[in-house]
Amino acid sequence: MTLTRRLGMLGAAGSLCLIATSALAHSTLETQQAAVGSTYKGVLRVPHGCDGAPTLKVRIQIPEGVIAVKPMPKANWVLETVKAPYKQAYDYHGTPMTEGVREIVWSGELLDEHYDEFVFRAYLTDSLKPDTTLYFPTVQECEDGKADRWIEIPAAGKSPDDSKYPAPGVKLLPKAAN
Amino acid sequence: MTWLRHTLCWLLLACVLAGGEARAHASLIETTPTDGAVVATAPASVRLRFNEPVSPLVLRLIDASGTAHADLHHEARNDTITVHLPEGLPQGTHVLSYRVTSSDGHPIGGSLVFSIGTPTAGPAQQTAANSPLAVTIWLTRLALYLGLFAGAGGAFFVVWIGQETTTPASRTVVRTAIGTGIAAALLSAGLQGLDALGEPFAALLLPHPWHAALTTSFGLTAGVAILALMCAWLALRGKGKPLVLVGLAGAGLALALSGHASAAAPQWLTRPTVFVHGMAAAFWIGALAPLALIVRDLRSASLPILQRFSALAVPAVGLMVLTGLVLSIVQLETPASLLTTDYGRIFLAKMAAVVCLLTLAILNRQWLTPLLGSKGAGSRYLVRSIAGEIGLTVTILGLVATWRFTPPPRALMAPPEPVRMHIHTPAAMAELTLTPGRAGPAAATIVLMTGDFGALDPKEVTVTLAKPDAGIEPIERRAVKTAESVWQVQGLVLPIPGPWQLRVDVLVSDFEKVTLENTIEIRP
Repeated sequence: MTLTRRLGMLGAAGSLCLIATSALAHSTLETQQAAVGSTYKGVLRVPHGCDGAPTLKVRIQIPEGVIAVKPMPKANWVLETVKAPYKQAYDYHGTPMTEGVREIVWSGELLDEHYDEFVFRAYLTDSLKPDTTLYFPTVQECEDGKADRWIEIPAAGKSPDDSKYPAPGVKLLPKAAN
Repeated sequence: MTWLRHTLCWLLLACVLAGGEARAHASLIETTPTDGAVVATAPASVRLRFNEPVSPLVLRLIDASGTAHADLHHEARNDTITVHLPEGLPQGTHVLSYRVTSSDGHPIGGSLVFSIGTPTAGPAQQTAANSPLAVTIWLTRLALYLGLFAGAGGAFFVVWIGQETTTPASRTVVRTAIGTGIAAALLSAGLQGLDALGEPFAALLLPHPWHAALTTSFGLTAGVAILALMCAWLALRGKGKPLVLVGLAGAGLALALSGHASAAAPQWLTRPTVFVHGMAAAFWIGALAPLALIVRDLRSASLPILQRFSALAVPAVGLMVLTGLVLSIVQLETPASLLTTDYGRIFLAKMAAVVCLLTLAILNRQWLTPLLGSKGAGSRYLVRSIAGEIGLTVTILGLVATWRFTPPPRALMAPPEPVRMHIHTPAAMAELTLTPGRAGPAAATIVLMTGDFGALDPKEVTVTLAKPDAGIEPIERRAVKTAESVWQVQGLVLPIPGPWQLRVDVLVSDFEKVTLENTIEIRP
């Protein structure tokens, strides 16, 4: 192997490294892929406030097809959920489900210089299409009425890297064989 | 190989560890002066404070006169960048565009707008007419006009009018003109880029001024001019007579694609008029040098060529005068502006030269050409007279090249006509009006509707304008709702004309945003 090729490979590895870290500048989900028809543990990572202002509220919108949502309470944070009917009934271990949590709201305080994680558990129903990305639009509400809205869903053919505030997403995998 | 594998493993591990530590984009927290501020005296420096330490990549100040300053002294300490402003900034509105990178290596950019004294009222000035760059631009523009007209028009003359009786000298002069024209077109494009970015001459060796030129309408002009001249050259080499017509039409097209006259409204009138004006001028100007050489060398034997030229020259000159008249009416608007504006004074000088040129042409046709026929001795006078015509032509083209630096009265006196833009997507549509639609301070009004013309009452509307080809990072402004589905942004500043990238972000609900994007053309 020649020196140039070595250097080339090092360069490629280095740029991979850059891509991996720059994605973390946004609010994202820790586990970035999951199979449909499985229970998913979502860990939302919030790396900063809104333009320096502390975060007072974190709101996650639950997309259609995601049911049986259970958020994890956090010390010093008030946890609320918004329940509403689903667009259709979903089968959950033999029981049809017609309504449930559509939005999770944590209220508290997270300084810009601190980092925190917000956890929920949910069931990804079979109705979701594998090989697509499932988005959980998330809003960070901050002091002085500021807000960072991680709600941009890329148009077909565009990458989430093109957005300034991409919605946290999970790549859906085909249902695991029983 | 083991060494490489180890290195890769460590790198991967480093990535994982770096990834585990949550990193953030830098964001701007505050600036001094604040964005949109009006300050009484010029500040010595501007401070930009971010939420974390950043390194500046590009800092550029576009001052109230439209001049770009790229080499700004700056200091980065902790989370603050202090940018020292140049001395003697004029009164008016200035834009500081920045691009910085933070610890995650992700660059972010933006623009800070502030005014000294009062916000700029009029359009931004163009490049000072006496700077070395302006003189170089003027000279290359003159060389381009000469090369284009004498090259494309000269090839037409040699191939169609001179035919078999042309002399080697007349072909050489046309070839020289073609070479000059191609070189001048290339150089003009680079200089145009330098002017747009406000860079020094040395930047011509870098790719970005050339890239900037490609995004302006002049880039298209230079490209078409080069193609036209290449067609003319091929025709001269005997690769097909019709190619020379392509060359001649290309010369007209190159002129119609950019410039003050082509930019004037109504476009359906001005663009074709410039096209015809340019083609007729190329035909006439191109014929002069080869004609003089042929008359000198062949004397009375050149009479058939002269007659063929005369037969075509009458309608060509008629067209040129007619189209010129139409364009001057559009550009000047009122007779008074002939004396009160630079543009008008240059126009008067050009007209004086044109009258002399037409007089010489009539003299040649009515008196010197018959003299050549009857005695064969008139060739000396005719050659001198044509040489006089060439001198006048260079003067005229030199004057025309000066218009590059003087906006026509039409643009100076035009009422602040707004630029309108309609962006329609399935989710939403926006009717955006920018008043006035020219460089300088502006206000935007946005009328919003859903994609199917229903009412849309968003929570927030943000307007973002950027001009990456001139190094201006996004200027972002929150719109204010002034009436049902009407939103407004006051105090926008667009320091330079040309195409700008416009983005309207409409926050329909807490979790839904619609983004509308388009390019908007700002007049000078």
